[in-house]
Amino acid sequence: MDIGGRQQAALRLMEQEGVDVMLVAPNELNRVDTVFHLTGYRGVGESLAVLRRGEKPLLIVTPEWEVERAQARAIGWDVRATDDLPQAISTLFAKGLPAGKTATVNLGRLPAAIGKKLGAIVGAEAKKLDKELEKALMPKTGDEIEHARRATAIAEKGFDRMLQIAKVGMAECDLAVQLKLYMEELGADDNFWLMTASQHNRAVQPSSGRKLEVGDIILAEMTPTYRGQLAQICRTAIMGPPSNLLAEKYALVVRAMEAGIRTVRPGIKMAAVANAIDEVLSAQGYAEYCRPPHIRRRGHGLGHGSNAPGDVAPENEVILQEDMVFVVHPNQYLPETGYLLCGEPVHVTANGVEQMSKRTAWLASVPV
Amino acid sequence: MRVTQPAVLVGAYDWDEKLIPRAEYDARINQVFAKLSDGGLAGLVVYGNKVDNAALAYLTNFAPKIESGMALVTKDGKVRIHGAGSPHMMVNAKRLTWTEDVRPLRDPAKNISEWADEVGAKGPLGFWTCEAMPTDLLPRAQAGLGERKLVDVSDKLNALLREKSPVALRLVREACGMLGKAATVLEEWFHGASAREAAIAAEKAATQAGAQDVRVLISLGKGGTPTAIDYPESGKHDPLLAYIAVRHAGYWAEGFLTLASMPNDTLTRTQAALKAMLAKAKAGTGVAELRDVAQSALGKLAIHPAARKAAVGVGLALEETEAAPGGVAKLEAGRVYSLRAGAQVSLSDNALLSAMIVPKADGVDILWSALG
Repeated sequence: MDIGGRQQAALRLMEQEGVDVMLVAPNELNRVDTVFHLTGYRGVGESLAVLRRGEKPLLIVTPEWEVERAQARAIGWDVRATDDLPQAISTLFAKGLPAGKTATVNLGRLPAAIGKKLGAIVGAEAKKLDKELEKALMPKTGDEIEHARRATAIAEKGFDRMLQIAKVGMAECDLAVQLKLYMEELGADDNFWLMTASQHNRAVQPSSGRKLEVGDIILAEMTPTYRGQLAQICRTAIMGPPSNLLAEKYALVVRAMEAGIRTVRPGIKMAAVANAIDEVLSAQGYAEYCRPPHIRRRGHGLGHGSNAPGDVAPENEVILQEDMVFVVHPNQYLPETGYLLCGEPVHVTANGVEQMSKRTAWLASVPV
Repeated sequence: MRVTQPAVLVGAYDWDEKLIPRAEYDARINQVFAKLSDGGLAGLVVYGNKVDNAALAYLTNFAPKIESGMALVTKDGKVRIHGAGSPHMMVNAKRLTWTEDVRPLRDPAKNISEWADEVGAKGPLGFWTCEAMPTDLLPRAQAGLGERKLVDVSDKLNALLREKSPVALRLVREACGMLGKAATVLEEWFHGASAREAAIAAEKAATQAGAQDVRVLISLGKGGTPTAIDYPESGKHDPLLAYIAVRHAGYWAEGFLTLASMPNDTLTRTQAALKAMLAKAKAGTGVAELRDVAQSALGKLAIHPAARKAAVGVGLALEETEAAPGGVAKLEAGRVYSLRAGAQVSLSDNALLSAMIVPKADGVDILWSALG
């Protein structure tokens, strides 16, 4: 699928649902920008993609001065820039939106002052197609898959850099900011970048001012975006030499991850990937740590436009298709070592799976 | 000014008592409940997210690094915070605030109900929110709360965000110092590097100076309006327009710059416009007057859309919510503003400049200016 095909998929959904107009908003707080997914434009203000059957698609962006980049990114779309999104919709549909034939996506996620006005214009009877549109737009485009490869390469270089610059006494967030800037230099335009450290971690978290100590286990979930496409690697490093116990347990978690990755191919349920991971860990006596509160999922979709195909979790019945991209990460809590991160981004190919990272997670050590 | 919003806030957001003493928060909580004293409210719910957390940060220093958070405040000043993430993720979340009571945010209505029952808060609760609150949040929360009403007190309390205490003024001044360092580095790099490299160098400079957060927008092409850097590499743009926002202990400073190796009429007139605005500005000056002097200096050039608001309040938000729907009406003593001047001739012929100021009776304190 290419981005034009994505617009066609959205139009097909409208036809199936019997709607003539669909207003699509981003859901930035949850890191799902459906407007970006449809148009290639990620806003600095609120935006709406307006799809009308039989008419050229229209992108309305705010503020007014954002017109130049919107025009450059949203190829094939008419672009209007305004400081007043509801007014723009009112003007566009001066005779009102077609009753019973209007749908919305993510309107409830817009800031309240705008969303309320738009809601009044659209009316309560408009269909909400948030989930349906995300499903219809699920496959990645060829460009996005290539961008995920580039983002993965940036993440791997970022981790290598972390091993070079991490030092005892350095604040977690100072290290995190330096690495964020380094990944920007390599071409990243955003980063869902979690990094935390302690002697016994219970979770990976946004970094804090805590200072690194000898024996700390650093958890790094590096998720740069390249041209808006996320990719993620999950890594673990210890400040100083690892114990034999830690090395042994980390090897177990990597084995579990590899079992999950080997399972990936078109036609299987996502649940099978999670189950393959759990089997390896359960066989070693960790079955109780394979469910909440210790673990909720074994990976997730990657994108900025969409989290499809969803979580790598036993309850996810989604059938894997060619060109899906997601991360497989056991990210397991073990009582002996605490939480350990390992994860690789994967691409579902016609016959199996492509691991997008060059090097599989290993227990790294920072000299102290 | 609208800026890019990162997927997660990465920088140093932990509460630092050396920067904002606990007594400052106690005083703020007292001020809040003094303002609400006639409302018959049993407590206060404060919402914020990673995009806009001014009210939440004002009372608690808590800025959600991911997604959203809310503070639940009793009338005697006890604060509970619910933040995004699992229970195990509250370890670092606790470092963002002075209160010990930090819990996961699951279902806002349930969290509010349980807290209200626990602390014996009977009757309606005040609700202090921000412009970036999602449309569906309040209706869902209200539906979940049943008979217990949430009363929006944002208009009443936002005035407190606009007034700057001595502590807040000091932090804004420090943020302006960081902005100045970033602007200097941007100018140095402008002469040799690509626009994107110059922007990253500016971000690094602000970070090294102590900024907890930095947002940089730059021209997409020669002379273009600053916008998000959503591409991995760029050429050298001359003129280069940039917008830099720097945050320090919650407080923002912002600046527009226009860098050009050769003088041009649009920039020269914009410089004159900002100079005239600074000369005119003092406590009590109407924003319409500032716009008039700017337009006089610009002559026939159109005011740039990003400078149509000649003054915006800056503090815990990059653009503070004003009492009047159209924005700042007149400059008030004790507040911090960004004065913006700009002209637009075409997509590739723009100039934008700004200055951070504190109005006084006889003029302004200039905290930072693009004019140097």
